Amino acid sequence: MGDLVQVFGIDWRLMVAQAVNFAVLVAVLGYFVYGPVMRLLAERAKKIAEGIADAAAAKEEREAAASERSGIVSEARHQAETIIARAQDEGKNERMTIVKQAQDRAAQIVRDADLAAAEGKRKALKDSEAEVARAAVLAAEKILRNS
Amino acid sequence: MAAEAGGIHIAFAPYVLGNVGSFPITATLVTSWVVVGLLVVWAFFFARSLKMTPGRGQVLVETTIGFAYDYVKEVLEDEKLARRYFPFIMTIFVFIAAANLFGLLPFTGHALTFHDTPLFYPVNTDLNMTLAMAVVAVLVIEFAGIAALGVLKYGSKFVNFHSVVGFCIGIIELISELARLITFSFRLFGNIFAGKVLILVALYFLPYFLPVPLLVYEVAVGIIQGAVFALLTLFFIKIAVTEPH
Repeated sequence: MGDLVQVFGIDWRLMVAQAVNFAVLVAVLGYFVYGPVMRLLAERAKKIAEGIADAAAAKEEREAAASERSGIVSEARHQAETIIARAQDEGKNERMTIVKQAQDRAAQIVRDADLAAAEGKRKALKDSEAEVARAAVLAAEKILRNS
Repeated sequence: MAAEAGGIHIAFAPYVLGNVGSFPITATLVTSWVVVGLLVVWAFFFARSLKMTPGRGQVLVETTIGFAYDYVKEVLEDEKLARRYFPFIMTIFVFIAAANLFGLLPFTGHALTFHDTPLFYPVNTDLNMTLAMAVVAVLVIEFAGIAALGVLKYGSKFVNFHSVVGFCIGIIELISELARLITFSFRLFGNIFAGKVLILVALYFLPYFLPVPLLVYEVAVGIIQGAVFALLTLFFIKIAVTEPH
């Protein structure tokens, strides 16, 4: 054993010195490299997870907005159709009313004209009757005078 | 065990540059200090340049750490345990791999000397380093077992009197637990030491060409050995924190 120690130059103080070197390295690398890198990796993983969650939320929001928009559009189209249909109905009704009023008025005018014509005819007849009567009287007087 | 053969000098003991008091300053210790120093400086600037939207370098570090942490968590099957042991396991890999790669740089070895002794030498060619890492790893593994199960329950894995067979298995477990010190330290030592010798020999036979593929191979070996040490530590921690049955 003594030979072995001598052949390999084993010295416990050298071993301690190398162990101290290693210990220093563990401490320094742990403090400056492993710790910060692990924290950084964890932080980045968190950020990536957040980013993915954000993207999913944004997508959901966008989809919700799209479906809302299409809902609004179809509602608007529906309302427009209703409005157009009602307007057409109203237009038709009004036209019919106007036509009917016009027809009524036309009929009224015709009736009035008929009445006025009848009155004129009656009056003319009456006038002519009086004229005939007077002419008859005059004729009679003339006959009498001559005789 | 020094062999003088055609100018190649191979010794198992680390090169001693000098002594501070009676404390030997070895080339591998100096190299270890430089590696730790470089990593500390890098860590400091890395922490300051950390950004939410990362550059390429940061992505590489983040990916490595994230992957390693997920793996540790998967093996230990517990978030709390993973958080507790991850820095330790990750640093084993970083330190050993960085030291091995640094050991392949041209100025390590005999190219840069101080009073004819190499100033830098691959850290894991020194059994002091690999044994120190093995001791630390085994201590942490035992600590993990005791912290998770308590002294009595954890101890019952090794010493129990349920049956003769149970007792024998416990003793074998105890021995294999201690044998980890040897396997941990000599696996790493053997790989890196052999790699260094291999390159030295190749340099001697056919400089400029032969060492290139070997260096590429040693880069892989250096990183893999770091990973092996870290992974074995992880698995042994998992075994230690698992309830005895």
